[in-house]
Amino acid sequence: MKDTNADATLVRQCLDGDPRAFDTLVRKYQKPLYHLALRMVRDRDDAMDVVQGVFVKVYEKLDSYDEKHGFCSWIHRITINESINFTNRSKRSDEYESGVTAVLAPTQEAARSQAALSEEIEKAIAILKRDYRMVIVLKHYHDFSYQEMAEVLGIPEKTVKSRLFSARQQLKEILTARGVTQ
Amino acid sequence: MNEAKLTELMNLVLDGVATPSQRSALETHLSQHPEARSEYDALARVSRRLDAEPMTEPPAELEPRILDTIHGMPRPHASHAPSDGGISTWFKGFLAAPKLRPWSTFGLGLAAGAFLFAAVQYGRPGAWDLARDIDPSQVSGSMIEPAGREPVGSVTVNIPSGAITGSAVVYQAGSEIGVDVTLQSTVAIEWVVEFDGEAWALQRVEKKGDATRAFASNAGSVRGLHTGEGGVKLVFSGPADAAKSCVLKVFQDGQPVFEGTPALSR
Repeated sequence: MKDTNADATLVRQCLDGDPRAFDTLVRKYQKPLYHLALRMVRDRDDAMDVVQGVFVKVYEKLDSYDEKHGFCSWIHRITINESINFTNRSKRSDEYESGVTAVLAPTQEAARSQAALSEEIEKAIAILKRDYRMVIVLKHYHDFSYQEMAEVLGIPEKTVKSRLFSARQQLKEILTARGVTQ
Repeated sequence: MNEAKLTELMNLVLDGVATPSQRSALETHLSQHPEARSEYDALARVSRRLDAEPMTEPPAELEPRILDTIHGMPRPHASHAPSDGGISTWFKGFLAAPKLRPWSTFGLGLAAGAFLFAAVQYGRPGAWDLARDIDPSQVSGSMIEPAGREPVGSVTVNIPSGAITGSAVVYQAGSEIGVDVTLQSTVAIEWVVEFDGEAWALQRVEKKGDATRAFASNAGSVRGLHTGEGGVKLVFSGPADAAKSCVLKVFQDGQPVFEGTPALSR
């Protein structure tokens, strides 16, 4: 996913007038960006709107893309910003994580199957603080390095590490409190 | 090994980027500290579980939707003057900005002065603590209702094991209804306050200490993850008599251990 040179080449081709080049970028990034947006806004339709908005913004601003920074980091950063803006606009306050209808009564029974376990993990991630959610998603689903996360989130690597540790700890506590111990 | 070092090593090993000597240092420490071993094992389980989770597939209509939109837009083209990046571009723009008028310079100076004053005050130990700390609901053992608060009802959390105690006090303050949840727990618990979502609308959640860490809410309930002593104040708009629909539930290890409705005092 993080082939910086290939992405930079596609951006240049697009700027040089090749319309197919941007289609390739869309196909390459729509899945990870949708996943990231979904984790941030926690609604499938809203996540689609955010991702579409991200690609529109990237397309419009393509000439301002700086090749010194990875395209992957750049587009992830835009997705995070757009997701935060969307959440703020729709008044889904992160202070108490409103709108998390998925977080309902503990379901120890259901947690026995793999699919249900995945669902429990999704719900647990959904109630993490936004800062924690972002590092968990970037690290464990998008396989970002500490340095890449620092670049995307605009924070020092040291902060990335401490957030990641706290996020895992909180996730462990949520899962334990909800009876998921596997 | 201090805690910061241990955290660093656990992170590096969990993320698969530790050197052999870092891995060995962590192993040595864990073999001598069973509590740290148990914490690490639990984190490693969470980490492995997360790594095994697949990304969510986007809906099939997403890609055509994006491409249709993009294809309808004017094509981007390379700028004549290539951008040299974020901050330097912004800085050049700032330098090129029109000169400020005298009144706006004065305004900026005033704002900067106010900001500096606030920053200095904030940094003074205890300078603003008085304003922040006056919350009578945090005064343990007090039965005196703070001025402006009328009691509506309360429920006491009482669990035979004694590991979890606390209360939920419902009160009215002007047009607001508050539910003051205070819990002391030596184990990780999940609490839930259910309410009549037709009658009450949640306005805000105020934390009391750090014992309750994560929150979730929907139209008819607020829940939190809690360990230690502290709680939250839930502030609603709506009629006081809907307090009869309010229920406090506590779960431990996914099992319900307490459920109670406030006994109304009027």
